Amino acid sequence: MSRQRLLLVACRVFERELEVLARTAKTELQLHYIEIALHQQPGAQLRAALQEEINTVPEEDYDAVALGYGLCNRGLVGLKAHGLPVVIPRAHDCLGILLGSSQRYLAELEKQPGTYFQSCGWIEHLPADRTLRPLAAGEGLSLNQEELVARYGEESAQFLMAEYAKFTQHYKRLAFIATPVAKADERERKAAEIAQQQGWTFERLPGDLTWLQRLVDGEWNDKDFLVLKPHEKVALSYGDGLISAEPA
Amino acid sequence: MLDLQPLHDAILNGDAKTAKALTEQALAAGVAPLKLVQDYMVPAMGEVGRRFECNEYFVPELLLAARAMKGALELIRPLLTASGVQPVGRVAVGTVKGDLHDIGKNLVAAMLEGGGYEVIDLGVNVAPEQFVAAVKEKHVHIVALSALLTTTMPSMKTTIEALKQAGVRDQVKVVIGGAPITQRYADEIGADGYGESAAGAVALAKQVMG
Ligand code: B12
Repeated sequence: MSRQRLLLVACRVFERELEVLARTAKTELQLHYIEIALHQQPGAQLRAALQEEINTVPEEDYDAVALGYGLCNRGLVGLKAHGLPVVIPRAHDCLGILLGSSQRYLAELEKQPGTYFQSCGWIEHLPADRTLRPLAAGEGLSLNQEELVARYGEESAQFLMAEYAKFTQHYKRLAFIATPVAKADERERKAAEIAQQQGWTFERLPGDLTWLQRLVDGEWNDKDFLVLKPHEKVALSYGDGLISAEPA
Repeated sequence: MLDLQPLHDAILNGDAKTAKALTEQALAAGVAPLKLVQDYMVPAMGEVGRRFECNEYFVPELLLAARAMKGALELIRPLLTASGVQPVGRVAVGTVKGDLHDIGKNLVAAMLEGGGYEVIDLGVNVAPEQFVAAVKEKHVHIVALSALLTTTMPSMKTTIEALKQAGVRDQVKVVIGGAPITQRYADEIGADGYGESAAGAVALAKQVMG
């Protein structure tokens, strides 16, 4: 039997990990990245971008489309499969995927709610002066001090910087999810530096790529993946599965 | 008559200095404090919320507008208390256990204060027992829960269960909100109300208090 032809549309946050996994993938894998939308966009914008991708897949070239995304602030709810099945990890967000399971992600949050997670992708794509000084992003939140002054005036900018500083006052730990990818050591050092600057403890959590691996290998069990049939759409499920399929 | 539209606009534009000055002027001219709040400040924050939802305003604009409203409210609150105006109700607000997001929660708190509620802000990462304690000790009428993570949404359910366990569930109304929350989820876990935005929080509180 010939290998399954899979188009994986993924968030750029997974680029380094997928680079590694693609080499040994059991599917005939094509990767397509979408720029990190992490803290930048409300869920609706992510959904629109992904829907556009799904609708324009050359369907004769593939057997299925996979999404390298979690639920991400309900960004995936309402997404419709077109002519091909669409495979989605039943994950809250990228952090759970990189930790290998939601169970482990929730346990880490339970252990220390004041955790700020980082991974190679976060360090690489969310530049420190935008995500760390105010330690927040999103339109307006990602402006640095000079930009704030230009937009809101000196006095308001100062007030905003002070407010932004408060955003992270309850954080205690930086947890770096370490995955075996290019330049991982460098990224880890950077993360440790950030922790030190913020006065947080630093912890290295070994990443677990088996969830992503099963995604690229086409091993989609029902517990960890939702497979939408053509013309079904994603619904939020309030039980264990996180998401479910319903008729579009 | 004094034109008070500029007070509305100062709050909308996040201009704290002007908002304060205009409030002082209006009070000196004998405008009823409650009228300032209800006819100008609350509608201004409503418009702020609307603009935020349409992506015309972003978090900095929200923070600046809330500051302008709070500044004006500080001048008004002592007058309201002195004239014997009672709070419309007492609300405990907090972000649920495991969750440290508080920008939305703070806005909800500010709106409720503007709407005449006494607000007890329990902060972030608030355990179910803390909400229970607020109901028992502070006799709040409403518990308002916020969650921004799908991972912490279940804490809303555990909080409602804890209120039941403690035997105080029918003494309070529970309202919930935050980006991942839906009306359907509120129904599912037996909350009394769901609010999509901080701007609607006052109307929601009124509605659940009946
Ligand atoms: C700012 C932000 C942060 C800041 C928080 C600062 C702070 N002190 O609050 C920082 C950078 C610190 C942060 C941290 C994290 N964040 Co964050 N964050 C955001 C972001 C960009 C905006 C949230 C926000 O403040 N919006 C503005 C306010 C005004 O809106 P709001 O909160 O929705 O509130 C409105 C309504 O919902 C409503 N409302 C809210 N509560 C209530 C309550 C009631 C009763 C009512 C009636 C109404 C109501 O009123 C408000 C105004 O209208 C969102 C993305 C997004 N666009 O939503 C991600 C987001 C929520 N974060 C996310 C994540 C993953 C995290 C982290 C885990 C990341 C990490 N690397 O560790 C940590 C969380 C740690 C923890 N334990 O909490 C994810 C959540 C994914 C998921 N699983 O659900 C999001 C969706 C980003 C994403 N797409 O990945 N974050």
